[in-house]
This record gives sequence, structure tokens and C-alpha cells, in this order.
Amino acid sequence: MVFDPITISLLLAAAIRLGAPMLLASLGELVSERTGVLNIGLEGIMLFGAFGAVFGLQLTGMPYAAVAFGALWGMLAVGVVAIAVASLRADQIVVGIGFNILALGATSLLRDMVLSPAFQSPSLRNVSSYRIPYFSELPIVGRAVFSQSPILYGAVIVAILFWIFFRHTRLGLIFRAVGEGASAADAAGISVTNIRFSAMLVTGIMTGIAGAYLTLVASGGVFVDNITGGRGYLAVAVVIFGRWHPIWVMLASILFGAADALQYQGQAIGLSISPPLLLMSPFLLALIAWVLVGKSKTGPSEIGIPFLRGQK
Amino acid sequence: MILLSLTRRHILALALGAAVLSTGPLVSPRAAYAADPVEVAALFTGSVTQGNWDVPGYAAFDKMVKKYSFKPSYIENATYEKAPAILRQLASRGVKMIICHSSGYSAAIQEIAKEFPDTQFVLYSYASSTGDLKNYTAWSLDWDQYGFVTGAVAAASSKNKHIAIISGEEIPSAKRAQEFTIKGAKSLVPDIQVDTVYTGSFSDVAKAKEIATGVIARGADVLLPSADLADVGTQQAADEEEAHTIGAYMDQSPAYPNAVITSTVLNFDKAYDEMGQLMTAGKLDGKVHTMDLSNEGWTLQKPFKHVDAKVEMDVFATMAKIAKGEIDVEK
Repeated sequence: MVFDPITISLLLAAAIRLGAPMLLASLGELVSERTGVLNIGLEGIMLFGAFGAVFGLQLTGMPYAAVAFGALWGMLAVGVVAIAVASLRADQIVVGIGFNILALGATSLLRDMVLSPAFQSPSLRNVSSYRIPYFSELPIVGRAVFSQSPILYGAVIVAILFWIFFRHTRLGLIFRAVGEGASAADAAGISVTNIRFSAMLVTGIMTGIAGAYLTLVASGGVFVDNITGGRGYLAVAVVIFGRWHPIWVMLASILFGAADALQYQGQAIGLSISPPLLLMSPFLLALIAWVLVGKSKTGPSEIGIPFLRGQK
Repeated sequence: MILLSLTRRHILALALGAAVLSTGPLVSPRAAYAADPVEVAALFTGSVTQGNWDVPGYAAFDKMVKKYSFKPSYIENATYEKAPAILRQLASRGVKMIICHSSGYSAAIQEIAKEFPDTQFVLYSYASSTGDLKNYTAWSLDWDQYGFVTGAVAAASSKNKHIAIISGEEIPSAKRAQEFTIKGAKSLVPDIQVDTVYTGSFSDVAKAKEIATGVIARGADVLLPSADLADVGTQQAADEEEAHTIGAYMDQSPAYPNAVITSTVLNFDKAYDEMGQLMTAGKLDGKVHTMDLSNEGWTLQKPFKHVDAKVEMDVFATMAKIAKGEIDVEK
């Protein structure tokens, strides 16, 4: 086993690329969770976004229009969850799990109905890679960090904007207030339902783009059934691992991506660890995150709790 | 509170309904019924419109039922754990022949077949025995030969003497396939380097692509995909990174013309036609029918692309020796 510069560069590049869908989805989930909504349906929303992006690509032949389609489908998908969770105050876990199962069947059916098996994807190079001048020439990190998809660069900017939003804006404070104490926010005249609904729409857009990234950037314009492969669940864990902080969430998603990348980079470089053990590493991290949520004091106080006026 | 509990019940019911609808096997609306009273059904693990295993399998099934005027139905996404219930349901309904298009159904057939002696159960892919059941007949591909030959093709085509096998989950059949692929590769190029990697998934295209990109960067110039739906990722990476690959089960060169050297082409039509023929004659015999190079069970697409003509000649010479028994891949 050799950790030479090529191996390190490949591992870093793979970690970032594999972490990207989780980064996009977890940034969206962060907004929901900050308002107290635990959106377990992320996996299903990502599936709809992935399908929507390929559908959009087939319709328009334009990669960026396809990304917009992915965002739109993600938003429409989350709308269903949001009506149940934010408006009808249904149990967030039950709805999320049910929605994920529904999405698996629905996207499979839609693929069968509207996606052409003979569809040849146009070139996706302009959406899959952009070399940042000068930086992309740097050794090791050049190709790994500065030759990624423009969507990924956009996600980094969104993470910074989210940090500013929650830390330094009045609306961000309102979002956080709803997650910390919905009844108090309601008493102060804030519409908890509207805030939670809006937050979920942001989740839908971001997760839809995550699905679009998965199909357009990572899979070359192909949609297959269950293409998300559990990434939505991992994104929920990434938010917890990142302690509900946008910048930490960004780093946590790279960590999860690295665990994912290590699965096969480890196999390829002859790391003497059993492949099944390597394959379970991201899910082991997710399990740790889920255990941590029980002990966390930094998360929103009312996460996962439906808001019912008059109840504490 | 009444409103709340009603709402919760409704949502629970919706979620459960969704679960039943989406996890249940999809009986395709396209199942068309002919007039012939003999009903024949087929089970597929995935969708018959996606991938490279169920698509040609369904095409052969469709051709066979039309030729022998059977009344057809087929079930997609029939996972192995659901197979016993599906088989029991179909046999109870009076289906006379049930074809299962994957080796993973073998256990379910052995469990159910004895309960329904009037129904013929047929498996296509791999079976070592039919458990002495008179109503269980199998068409078994010689996957050891298959692995050996694909390994030989990859090794003979590799300019860097470095190939990679990208498999899905680490299951016994995948490990065995890798073993024979390596054996075949070393039979033609003894000093070939073979990387073997599991993606851990049969549907994660992104992961397969990422892995393929990584092994190409390490010097592998011919990739052998063996992860079902996820193979698309391997083939894409080969196409984009100017490496080569081998199509599986059907001619895949139209999809990746820059990358595919050749494709294995399984003779689904022959196997399914034999099933129809024996069923019509009442001669399904409860035995294992081996499909290999000696009886045109499968072959490689010609001509080879992106390699010297000698590679094709060498590989077909090896295949001819295997067919005649001059090379025993098991040794």
C-alpha cells in the first residue's frame, strides 16, 4: 500500500466529488432542521431531483436547464412532505419514511413511462468540470480541489451565505427562533407554519440540485432506479455531524465523501482491510452521528416536534 | 386533537399504501394476453426496460411466448425474498410454466415447486442442480468459461498490461467470476496486473464511475464491468478517459463506441426457445441444461474494435479450444 501524491490527489478529488451530493442536500436539510423540521424524506426528494434533471436534459438538451429541472422537481417533491409536516403537523419521521418508499416506486414508474432508454446524453462537460485558472495547476490539490463542477463551487458559496444568513440577518434569527421554541415564536407573532414551509422549500431546491449533480455530473446523464443509494440518509447524518453549522456541514460532507472514497481507493491500493468493512465506513459515521444527536446540546431544541398552537 | 389524530391516521395510511405500492412487484400493464389457454409467466429482478440483463431476457421471453402462442405475463422488480410468495401466487392461479430470470431465485423454486407439481418452474442463469425436482428445469450458463474468456480479452487488449474488474457486491458468484477472470487474463498474459474492486452496490452509477476513473488514473487501460446497472458508470469513465471496456450480455458498442472493444452476447433466444419447445412438447425434464461455448450458449460480438486483429484471433482461438475441451478452465 502506497500513499503517493497520485493516491492522495485521487482520494481528495474522489472525497470532494462523492461528498458533493451530500453537501448540497445537507445544506438544504440544515435550513429545515434549523426551523425544527427533521426531513427524513431527503432520500426521496433527491431521487425526484435526479429523475427531474435527466427528464429536463432529455427535454431541453441543456445541462444547466436540466439542473433547474432537478431543483424544480425537488421543490415539488418537498411540497408534498411540507404540506403533511408543516401544514397538517403530521409525524415527521413517519411521513419522511413513507415518502422515501413512495419516491422509489414513483421514480421507477416515471422512468419507465417518460425516459427513453435510447437517449444519448449531450456533452455535460460544462456542468461537470471547470478548471479555476492558476489554482488548478497546483500540485496534488490542483486537480482535486480546483477542477470540480461549477455546481460544487456554487454549493461552497451557498454554505458561506447560509452562515451569514443564520448568524447576521434578522430573518435567519427568526428561522432559528422557530426551531428553538415554536410556541414562543408564535406568541411573538411569527407564522411558524410559513417559516417551516419556506425552509422546506429551500431544502427541496437544494436536494433537487443534489439529485441533479448525482445524475448529470457524477453519472453522465443517466438515471437508474434507486440511484441515490442511501445518500439522502447520509445527508441527514452529515447535518448532525456538522453540528448544524454550514461551514462544519461542508467539512463533514467531505469527511463522509472521504469515507466513501476510501472504500474503493483502499481496495485499489491494497489496503489490508476487508472490503465489506470499508464499504460500511460512511454508514458507521452516520450511526455515530445519530447517536450524537441524542447527546447534542447544539441542535435546535424543537427538532422533529410538530408545532401545535397551545401545546408546549 | 380529533383533527390531529385523523390527520395522522390518514398520513399513516398514505405512507403504508405507498409502501405497498412501491415495494410490491410491479405487474406490468403492458402484459398482453393472447388467446392460448397455456399461461406462462416470467420473473425479473429489475425492470425490463433498464440495464443489460433483464432487457434481452425479456426480449427473448416475448419472442418465445409469441412463437408458441402462450398467454404471457411478467413481473418486474421481483426481489428474491418476495419470490416464494410470487411463485406460490402464480402457481395457484394456474400458470403452467414460470420462468425465473436469475440464479438468485433457485432457493425459492426449490421451496415452492414441490407444492405445485402441475406447474413447471424454469430458471435461467446458473444452477448446479435442480434438487431432483421433476418440475424444476434450469438453463445454466457456464459462468466460469465466461469469466475466463472475458479476462483473456481484457488482458490481450491491454497495452499497459494492467486491467481492472469492477464488481458490485461481494457475493460468492462475484468472487468466483473474479477468480476465473484473473485466471483467463493470466492464461494469455502471465504478468498482467489485475485490480479488483467492489462498489458495494449494483445500482450506484456514480460510485462505479468514480472507481473506474481512479483505476484508470493508476494505469489500468481495460475495465471489466460486473456490477449490473452500475456498469454504465464504468463504461462512461472508460469512454471519457480514453480507456477500453467490454460490454456485458448484449452488444453495448452503440452506447459507448469509443470504449467498447467487444461485448459478450448471451444466447437468450436459444435458451428461451428451448423452454417453449420443451414445454409445448411436454418434455421439460427437471434437469440442468448447460449453456456454454460448445453449444452456442454465448459468444463475443465481432469484429473487435480499438485493438489489433490478432487479439480477436487469439481470443477466438482460445474460445474454440475451450469449446472442444482442449482447455479446461477449471484447472
